[in-house]
Amino acid sequence: MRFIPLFKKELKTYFISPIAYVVLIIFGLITGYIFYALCATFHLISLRVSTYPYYGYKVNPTEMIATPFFYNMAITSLFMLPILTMRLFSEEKRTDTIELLFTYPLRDIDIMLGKFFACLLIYLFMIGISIIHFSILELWTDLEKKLLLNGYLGLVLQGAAFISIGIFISSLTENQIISATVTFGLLLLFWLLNWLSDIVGEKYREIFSYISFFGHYDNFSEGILDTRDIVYYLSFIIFFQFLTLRILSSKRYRG
Amino acid sequence: MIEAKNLTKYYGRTKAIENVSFKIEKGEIVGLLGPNAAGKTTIMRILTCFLPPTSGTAKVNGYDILEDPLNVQKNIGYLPERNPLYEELTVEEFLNFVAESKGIKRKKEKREKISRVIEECGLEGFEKKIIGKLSKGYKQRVGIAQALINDPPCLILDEPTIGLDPKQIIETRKLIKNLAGKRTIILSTHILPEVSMTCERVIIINEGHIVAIDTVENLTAKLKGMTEINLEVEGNPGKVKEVIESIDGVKEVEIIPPVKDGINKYIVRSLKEKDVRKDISEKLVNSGFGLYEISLREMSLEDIFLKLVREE
Repeated sequence: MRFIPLFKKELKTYFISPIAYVVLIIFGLITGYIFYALCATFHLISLRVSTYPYYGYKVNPTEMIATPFFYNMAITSLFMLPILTMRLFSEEKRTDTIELLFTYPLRDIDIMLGKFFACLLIYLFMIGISIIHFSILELWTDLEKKLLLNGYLGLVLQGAAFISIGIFISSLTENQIISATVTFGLLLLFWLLNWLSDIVGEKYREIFSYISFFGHYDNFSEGILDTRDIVYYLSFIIFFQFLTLRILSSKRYRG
Repeated sequence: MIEAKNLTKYYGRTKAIENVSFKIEKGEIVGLLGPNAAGKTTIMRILTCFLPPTSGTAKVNGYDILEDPLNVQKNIGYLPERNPLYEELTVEEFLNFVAESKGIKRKKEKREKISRVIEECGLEGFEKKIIGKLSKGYKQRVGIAQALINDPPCLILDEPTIGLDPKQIIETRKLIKNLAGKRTIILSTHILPEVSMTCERVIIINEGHIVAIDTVENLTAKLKGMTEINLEVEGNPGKVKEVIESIDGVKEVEIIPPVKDGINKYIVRSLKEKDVRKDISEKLVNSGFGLYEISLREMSLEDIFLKLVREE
């Protein structure tokens, strides 16, 4: 638990800077807008469908609001998370405070986890805002709670994976802009990688669609809990955290 | 307390330090003295386990820097050269973070230690100030405070007075002197008076090698084995030099530029045991040169340092 001091310090810095407030507000506004738009559309469609009772079974708030909303939250966080991760190591390197951190009795893994969990907590606040939205919706409808839980689990895993990549990129450069841009590019690339699976042919299709975030996250937002998806995200997180640790120890070795 | 054994460090192909060995006893203040890029910072970074040496090793308080870096770091307080700080935090928040990072868990103990270093470093009244808004001198105090917070037996201060104004320099030196006694301190500097003012022993380092390790007094005395004489003589410089060099006991004759016809200034170095002034004046006058001045020269630590570094 030696990562706790750095975790607290990073959280403090997020709110002092005040990146956390900006990201929380913008994320809240955008997801709020999306939620409103989905509800309004649902309202319109259900009015129209009420005259054709035959189609009615397809129109339910879980499938027409919750599923697309989770999907859109994931996309929005893809834009926002690079902003949260960009300074984590870049700033320390630019201002040389990394020398303090590396000469305190902390292991590399304490340093990395402190930063990782601080960022993850801000992310949890971000997606936590939507609990308000669902609670309001719950007043008039009956949402499938298990699907919602599944959707949140997917969001957390996905966010943790995004953050792991972001921290890794941040450990490579002193420049925050480069850090954010490269992270964003990589995230988008991983998201869209499944497009290739239709082009590369039978042999590699499986590989590309497995590596891409796309299919895995879809399952979560549709309410499917598959251990393969959980394993995918966990291995993704561990892989990039491992790379970050290698970079940190090589930084010590090269100066 | 601190023992370095054959430390060598290469950055790629560039050699930073080579075969650096020294031993520092408990409670000593030792100055690491050398021109810029001599390898002072590299030595300190190795001792604080920020960089591993290419070969060799060191022990701090009995812990090996390669085998037990965490314990070494627990026994060290380090002020890096550029004094990096988390400038967005307040002094108190920052010290709180450092205390926790250095493994001080209990709230009461933490509060005690923080208020102690705040007092020791003269930061009372600045606890709630944002570090980035402090003056350079006060930032330096915060830097020293973070090094001191867990009361480590060893302090490693890299150029603690660099970039400060004269008043701040005096204050910082006073602070360092006050810290001595209970703690072992290594401080690096390229300013000589600092060493004679604060340190008991000096390690002089140049181009990655140790040139001399001794007390300030001994170093001065050792080099005082040589006497330097100032001369002002009229006559052909080459011939004057020849005449002086022929005198028994004279080691070296240096003409101070610019060399011109007429009167020139010279520095003559001779062995301490023999006063050659009489011989010089006699010989010069007998050879028909005009002797305008002859005097003994006191050597400052500055001269000694330059001389040692040049000899190497």
